[in-house]
This record gives sequence, C-alpha cells and structure tokens, in this order.
Amino acid sequence: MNNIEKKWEQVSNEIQSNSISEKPFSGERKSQKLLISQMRKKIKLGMGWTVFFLLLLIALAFMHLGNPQILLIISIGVLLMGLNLLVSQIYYQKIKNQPRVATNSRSMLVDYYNWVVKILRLERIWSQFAIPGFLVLSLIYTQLKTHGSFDQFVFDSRMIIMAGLLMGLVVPLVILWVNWSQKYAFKTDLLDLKAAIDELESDENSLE
Amino acid sequence: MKEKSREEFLECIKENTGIIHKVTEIYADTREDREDLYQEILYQSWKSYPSFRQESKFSTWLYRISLNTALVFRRKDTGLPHSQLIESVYNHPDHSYNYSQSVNELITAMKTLSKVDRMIITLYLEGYTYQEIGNMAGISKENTGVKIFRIKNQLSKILK
Repeated sequence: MNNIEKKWEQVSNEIQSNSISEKPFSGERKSQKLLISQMRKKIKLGMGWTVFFLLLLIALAFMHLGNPQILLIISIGVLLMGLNLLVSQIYYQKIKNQPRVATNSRSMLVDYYNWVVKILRLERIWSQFAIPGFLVLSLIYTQLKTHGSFDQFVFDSRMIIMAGLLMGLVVPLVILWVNWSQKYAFKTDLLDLKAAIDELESDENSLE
Repeated sequence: MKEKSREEFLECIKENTGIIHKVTEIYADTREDREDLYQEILYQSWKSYPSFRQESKFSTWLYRISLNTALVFRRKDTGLPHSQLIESVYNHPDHSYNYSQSVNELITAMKTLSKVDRMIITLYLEGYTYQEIGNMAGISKENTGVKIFRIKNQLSKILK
C-alpha cells in the first residue's frame, strides 16, 4: 500500500467525525447550484421573452379586431412565435429538472451538452428566418394601417429603399445580437461541460 | 408505501453517509458549498431512488449519484481563483475541521485535480476495479488505467 492509499484510509476514518452538520431531509429541494439547473433557468428566461412578444402581438390583435386583413398579418406573427415556443418547449422538456445522475458520467454530460446546444441552434436558425419574416410583416402592417386594405398598397421607391435598408442593416444586427446573447449567457457553462466531456474522451480515441 | 420507501432510503443513506461526506469534502471548498452539495446529493439520490434496482450495491449506486452530482455542481462564486480559494479556506483560523496534517494534505492535493480526475481517483482509492470505474465514468477499462496512472503520479508529485 503506497502513501496515497494510506492517507486515504485516514481520510475515511477522520471524515466521519469531522463531517458537516446534517440538516433534516425533507425530500424536497429546488436545485440551484447544479450547472444544468442554471442553464435551464437561462433557457426558460429566453422562452419568457418569446412569450412576452407573443402577448404583445395578441394585445395588438385586440386593437385591430375590426380589420380582418391586419388580423391575418398579426396571426401569421403569432403563429411564427407560437411555433418557436412549441418546439423550444419540446426540447426544454427533454432537459429534466435534475441531472440523470444514475447513468454514467460521460452519457450524462454529453446528453446535457447536446440538449442545450440543440435548443440554442434552433433559436439561431429560427431567428434567421423569423426576423426577416417579421420585418416583412411589419412593413405590410404599416401599409395596411396607412392605406386600410391590401388593394390600396403603394409600393413606391421610398418604401422599397426602406425595406432594403432594414433587411441589409437591421436584420443582420438582430441576428448578431441573438448569437452574441447566446454566447454571453451560455459560453462558460457549455465550455465547462465540453471540457469535462473532452477530458473523459481524451485518451479514449488514442487507445482504439 | 412511500413513507416505508423513505424510511428505507434514509436507513441506507445513514449506513453510507461517509460516501457523501467524502465527495462533498473533495468537491466543495467552503462550508456553505459543502452543505449545499450534501443536500443536493441527498435530494438527487432520493429522486433517483425508485430506479435503484439492487443490481449493484447501494454504496456503488450512491457513489455514482454523488460523483455525477458533484461533477455538475457549481461552487458559489467568491471571486477567488480555485487554487487561492483552497489555500484561504484551509489556512483560515476559523476552519472548523480538525483533520490531521496528512489528511489535509491529501484533500488539498486532490482539490487541485480536475473534477473528472477527482472522480476517477476517488473511486480507485475506494477499491473499485478499472472496469467498475470505467462503467461509472463511461470510459474504457484501458483508458481508466491510463488516467489512474497519470493522476497517481500527479498526486505523488504534489505530496512529496
């Protein structure tokens, strides 16, 4: 038995008598210090923003109950938001409230990493399609508000330039902002998970 | 029925509480974190208890739960780098643990390892085979052997 093993025997003997005070176990606890709980909270916060914009659109729809054409445009927006929320919710549900701690460590870490990465990728892809879509919807909405119906739309050069500028400047900026906010919120957590996974896998490939 | 299962669970935990104490000591740096991790492990074990099928020993199952929970546990941000935090905790006059110098040395040395390495060496020191450690970590028996060799060398250097 070498030095480390001898010391470990001592650890086992001494740790019992010096252990922390044990609080009574209630069987209930809100996990707050687990990496995955914190990531889950951030994802939920992101979904909260989608709900906020969805509610804004619904409120806007109530203001135009008398105009079916505007209602149609708003409904398309609600549908886009709702679809995003639904798919995010499906992925979100896959991330259980607690880690799958009864499985092996590598599977647990890989599953969590993949689930979070999938949700974030979904958000990015959705934003690339939805943001230009919302821009077009906003322009149609503005036209409808100004002119009353589709028949009286005026596609003058000013509007086309405005649409082009918004598409060329605002849309990329919003998409960049989505990417940046994801990095800001999740980079450290994902790097931690990835580092642990890489460490477990590091020698595995060279041994095969 | 649930009450009976709860009693059974608490009885098993009582018999194996040393496992949780060892894991919290190795993974958490401050008293607050240790207490939080202890409660977290207890909670995660209770939540997973219905899936415990007696195929393995309760202690092995509890090690798996405890170490996996510790792997994804985030310590409270004190603003101090990990190495400085360990030093400050162990040198603090209020440090309430009364470990012998040799135990303190080993725990401090283990805390310098990565979370994954701490898991592997803990299981090794507890007498699990390479195959069992590999199963718990999700890596091959050969890789486990390589890692243990490296970690032991690393620890020996620190403890010299």
